[in-house]
Amino acid sequence: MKEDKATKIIRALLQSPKGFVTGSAMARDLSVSRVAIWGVMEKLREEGYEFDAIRNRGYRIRELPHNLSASYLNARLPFLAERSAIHVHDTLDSTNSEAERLLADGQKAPLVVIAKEQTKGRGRLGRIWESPREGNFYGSLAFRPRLNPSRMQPFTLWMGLTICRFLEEIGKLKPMLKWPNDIYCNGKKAVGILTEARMDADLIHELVLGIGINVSSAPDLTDAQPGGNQAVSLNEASGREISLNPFTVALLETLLEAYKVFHEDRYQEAFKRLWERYNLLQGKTVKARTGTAVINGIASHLRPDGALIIRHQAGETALVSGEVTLST
Amino acid sequence: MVENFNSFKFFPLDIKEVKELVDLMKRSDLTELEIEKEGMRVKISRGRAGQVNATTNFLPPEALPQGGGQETKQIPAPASSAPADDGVYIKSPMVGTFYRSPSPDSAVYVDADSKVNEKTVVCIIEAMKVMNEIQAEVKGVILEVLVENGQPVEFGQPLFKIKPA
Repeated sequence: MKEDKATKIIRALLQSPKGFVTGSAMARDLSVSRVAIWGVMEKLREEGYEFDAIRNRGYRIRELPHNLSASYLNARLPFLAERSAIHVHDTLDSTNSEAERLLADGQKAPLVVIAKEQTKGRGRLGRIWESPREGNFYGSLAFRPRLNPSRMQPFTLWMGLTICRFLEEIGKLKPMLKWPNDIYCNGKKAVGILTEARMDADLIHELVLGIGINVSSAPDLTDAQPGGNQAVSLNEASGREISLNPFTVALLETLLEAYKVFHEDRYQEAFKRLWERYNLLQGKTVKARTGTAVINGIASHLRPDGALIIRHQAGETALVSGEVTLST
Repeated sequence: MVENFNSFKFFPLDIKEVKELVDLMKRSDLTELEIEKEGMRVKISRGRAGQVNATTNFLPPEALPQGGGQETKQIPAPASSAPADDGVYIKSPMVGTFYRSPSPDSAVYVDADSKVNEKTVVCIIEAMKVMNEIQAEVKGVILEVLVENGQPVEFGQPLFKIKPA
């Protein structure tokens, strides 16, 4: 693809050993005038970049934007950028819906859809994922796995555990996964995952992994769920400010790698290790609600296909779908 | 009574295999057949009314006292005794919860008399927060919706009956 000038400039600045690139070097490399370069730099400033401009040395990035920057993501993820596979929007109904539209249009997978704001962020069964503007991650990754549906079951868990590992590695966080798809930090919800697949009996044709992460702000859910789950941002939970653009690049790289490992069926060993580390429900007394029953018992272990085994007086139940809450 | 939503896992044959066996039994006029697979013994017997029972022994044969540790399962009628008609079934490709609409407030994907094609999404099966949209795979008209919204479904369980166009 023909990359835009802003992406090329950001990449040149990020790759320059001392961080400086002169305006004339940019003009030469992009085959445009100095005036055109100034125009692009001005647009980048409007996006939230701050630059040092020093005579004889050129420009240097002083501050990255607080909000997500398409130029930054494209500059740092060339393997996606060269296929025009990163779609960044100011506002979308839902990144999962947009990703599904792109797949239906025949776009090549994998692709990434990110919105700075969602108006109809989707949770399970049409519930809303509160998506306040600015500084959070609302994104979807879309794939065409062509795997048998039976292979798919542990996918959301695997990606959730991968995100837990990622969050712990960036530091100062102790994330825990609540089976099957919520991530808690400090006992409050910080990440939600919703996977949607389109399949027939033999093959999964399309797969969309939607993730919402409260990075810098969390919705106040007190009114929506009095006494229920509360939300927290990663900044609040870690006591520091996470830079959203580098965070997003590292997250996407991690998720794409984890997808690859899953697709190649090489995830089992790491899965087991991560599950032991991040399972919020281990040995806890829980209440599980399915479409037809309420089960009270102890969260025991995981079956290889990802079903949660709950022990109770009448024996064991393998939970494949439903809601699990901690009993108090 | 607590349900085991995944009893199929312990049942070494899938519905299709049972149907094949039953067809074989019908052709050769057998009333009883016993096979062993994955260390489990399965006995299928066929009564006069065309009703079929399958019995599974959960233990390896040598560990099994005569007649002990058995469980009898009723095989859903369509697999064995459906009279000849033009219906085909859309079956669940996985264990999970069956939903007829994308959200509680929205209209159902399909209903009886709905026309569908191969790509039409007919329902969602949710398992571990993967919302699996199931496609019809055949062109035709829905004759019957066989599962109620929100119910757990098993692998291979018939969900819809369709008259192919």
